Amino acid sequence: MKLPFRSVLLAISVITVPAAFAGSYPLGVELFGGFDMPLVQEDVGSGPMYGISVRGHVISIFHAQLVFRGSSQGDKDESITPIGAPSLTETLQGGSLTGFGLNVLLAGKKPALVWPYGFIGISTNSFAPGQRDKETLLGTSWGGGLAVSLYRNIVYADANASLLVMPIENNSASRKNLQIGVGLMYMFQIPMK
Amino acid sequence: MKRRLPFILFIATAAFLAWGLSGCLISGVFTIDYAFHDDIHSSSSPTLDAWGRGYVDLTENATYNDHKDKLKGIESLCIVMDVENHLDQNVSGEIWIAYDSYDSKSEVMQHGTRIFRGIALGPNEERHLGCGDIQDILENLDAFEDAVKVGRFWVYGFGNEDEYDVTFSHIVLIMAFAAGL
Repeated sequence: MKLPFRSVLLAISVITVPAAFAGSYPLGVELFGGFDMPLVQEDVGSGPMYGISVRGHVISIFHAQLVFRGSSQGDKDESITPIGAPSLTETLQGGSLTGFGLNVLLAGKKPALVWPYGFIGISTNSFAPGQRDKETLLGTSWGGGLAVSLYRNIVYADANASLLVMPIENNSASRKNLQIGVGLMYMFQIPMK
Repeated sequence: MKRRLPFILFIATAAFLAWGLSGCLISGVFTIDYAFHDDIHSSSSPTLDAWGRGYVDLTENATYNDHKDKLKGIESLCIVMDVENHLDQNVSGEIWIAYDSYDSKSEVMQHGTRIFRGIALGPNEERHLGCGDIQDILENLDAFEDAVKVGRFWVYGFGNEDEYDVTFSHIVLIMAFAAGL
């Protein structure tokens, strides 16, 4: 499923329009890295993950976050024993998983020294296994994290974990990935008025 | 409207969670490998020993048996094997599947489905084919998926040329399939 341009625009609007009413507004821009671990997937392995996100407050405890992430899906070695021949190892190539999504964060309204949050999200994901055709998969995410201020509630260290669930086979099964990331976030003060 | 927004977002979140958790969460992708019991020796002048076919019974595999009732689809397929051309000329091999046993190439072509072709072999060449060699020439995976769901089927090997004599040996199917738990 492709994420249409209007949806992207809407997502950006969700962040920026409420901010216009706020007078002055911080946007948290984060660079992060970590690991992607496929769950109950015997055909791909774990791999590194990287990405960038932009978050902003919407209303009450709700914040919106745009996320782009990429990850490598590790190779998997399959040990096979042909009848009448020695055992051998065949490598199933992992490939890559990239995604672009929108998360709704539940967190304190204002940046704090210690700033925990939970989130749910929706994303469009490009799954490109090494030896198969590329697939576009709609994904949902659940997770949480903890941001800790390093400097005056402007620079944060952030750690988070999320479960990405991507339905396959007409929504009758799914690929699930546990994604753990740590990052550095900078709060940009955006004067809106 | 502004006061109602948190409530609307809460309801939307709950609905989203319910949708996301329904149906597909308790599932996974599993791999199985199935080694053929016999080689497939296929010749344009078939004899009792050289009529190229092999029987696949996936129910011999414990992982398949654990999940066959909740099998949702094939995520990937790989066939590992050794191929040998016994003639002093080029040959191109292909593999077909069918649910029944047939005694002629024409019957197989009438009732079966080709799952790949294009194994090019030089004169008297012997090659090992791995996943990377086969992946790009696979075809009709929907038919193969149906056969995997049934669990038992015949596999036939042929040459494309009028005259051929090929042995497909040490064959192992490696499949990744999606299934419920």
